[in-house]
Amino acid sequence: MYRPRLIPVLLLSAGRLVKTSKFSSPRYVGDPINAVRIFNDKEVDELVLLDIDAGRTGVEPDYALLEEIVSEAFIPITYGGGIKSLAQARRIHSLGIERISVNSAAMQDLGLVRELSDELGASAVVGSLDIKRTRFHGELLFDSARGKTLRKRWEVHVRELVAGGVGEILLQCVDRDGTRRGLDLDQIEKVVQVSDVPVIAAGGLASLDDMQQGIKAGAAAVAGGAFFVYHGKHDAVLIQYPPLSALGA
Amino acid sequence: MIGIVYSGLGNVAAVANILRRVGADSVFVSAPADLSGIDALVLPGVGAFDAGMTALSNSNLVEPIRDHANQGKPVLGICLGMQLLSAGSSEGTLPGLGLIDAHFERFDPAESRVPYIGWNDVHVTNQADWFGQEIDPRFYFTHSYYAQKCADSVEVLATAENGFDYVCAYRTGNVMGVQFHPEKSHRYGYDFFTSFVEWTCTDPA
Repeated sequence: MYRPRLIPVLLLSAGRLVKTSKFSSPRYVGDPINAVRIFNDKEVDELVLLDIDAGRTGVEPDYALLEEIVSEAFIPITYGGGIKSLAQARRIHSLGIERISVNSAAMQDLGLVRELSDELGASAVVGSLDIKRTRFHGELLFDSARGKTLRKRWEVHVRELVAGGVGEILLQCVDRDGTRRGLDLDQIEKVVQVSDVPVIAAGGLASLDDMQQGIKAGAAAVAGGAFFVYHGKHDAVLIQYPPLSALGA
Repeated sequence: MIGIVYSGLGNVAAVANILRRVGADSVFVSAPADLSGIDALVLPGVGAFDAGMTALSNSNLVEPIRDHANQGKPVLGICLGMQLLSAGSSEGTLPGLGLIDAHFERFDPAESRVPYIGWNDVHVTNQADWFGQEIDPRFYFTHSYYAQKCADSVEVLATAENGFDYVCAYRTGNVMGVQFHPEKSHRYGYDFFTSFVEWTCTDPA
């Protein structure tokens, strides 16, 4: 039976695992190799690893770290951060990471999306998109690499990503990131309506009830960060993932 | 020794990692000479059908893989690798390896999820204990095409449901293919590869 996926998103920064709040103030939460091993043992549906430095500074992905992270992870993994070429994607792929997420590079070069999709297959390419609510201009695309909102309409960008051949969209609602305030259901619905491919919704996840609401809003999968690494009111670091029985299997 | 076909495409290290986890050594096979001393082949694959066949033929591996299979040595195709073992797919125009008499077709969005990305229950139809001790094996899938036509010579090992039941694991003699990713399916994968290693280490004679 098909069951929507619940996906932890892990942020990498300088070889460490961090958690942001509204896309800023990264806080150290642990060692990524150890964390991924724990998530593997908890038999997560899938993991998304995002290198928040590689996108911003333009440095190469940390291949050695990724290789070490995945050498003991027998679960589906998506990597994003700093992918600008097919050669980089191939190399990530060969390490044992089957899905590549593109974000900043796809804003400038949709040819890259086409190239990746043609060679790796659509289901191996995830189009990542960050949306921020603004006071005067409604919901805008957010370029996390440069830390600013863009003029380009997110609707246009979603359609371009889909036309370019991405197999899924990863939607991150910037204002909910790290807040555990619940998903932005309204935004999820809007993106699902525009996208012809499945949408993974992230930002604000705090409970399995939130997840169900996200699925009801049309998401094919729900992702989160803080939900999986923080525990309690004071954000104590604790890696957790619900058992299969709680996920309705 | 188990060889993992690497023609420049695919998540090959993931297969090597899980084989190591279940205690088996492996090497990558990127050229015909690499096949010497190989007892069993794994053909992983992610990507489009024609890109996969083109990569194999650019590495001059098409005939050597067929020879290996025709000598009765085990071959396991995973995901696209399963599809490449067949006669062909409507995703591409190139013929497949033709080791299994089947043809792949795209799921119809009117009745199925396309692409199907996620976990699914696998219904084991064969008595052979391919899937270890798990009563309800689950595996991770990511695909848009499925084995629509299978000749009578094809032994169906397992089916899965995506709007209807389709063949997700098949075999003809020493050649088998699975649509799911056992290398990405944690304990179900450990069980599967344990069976595979046992199979490849058993002298058929």
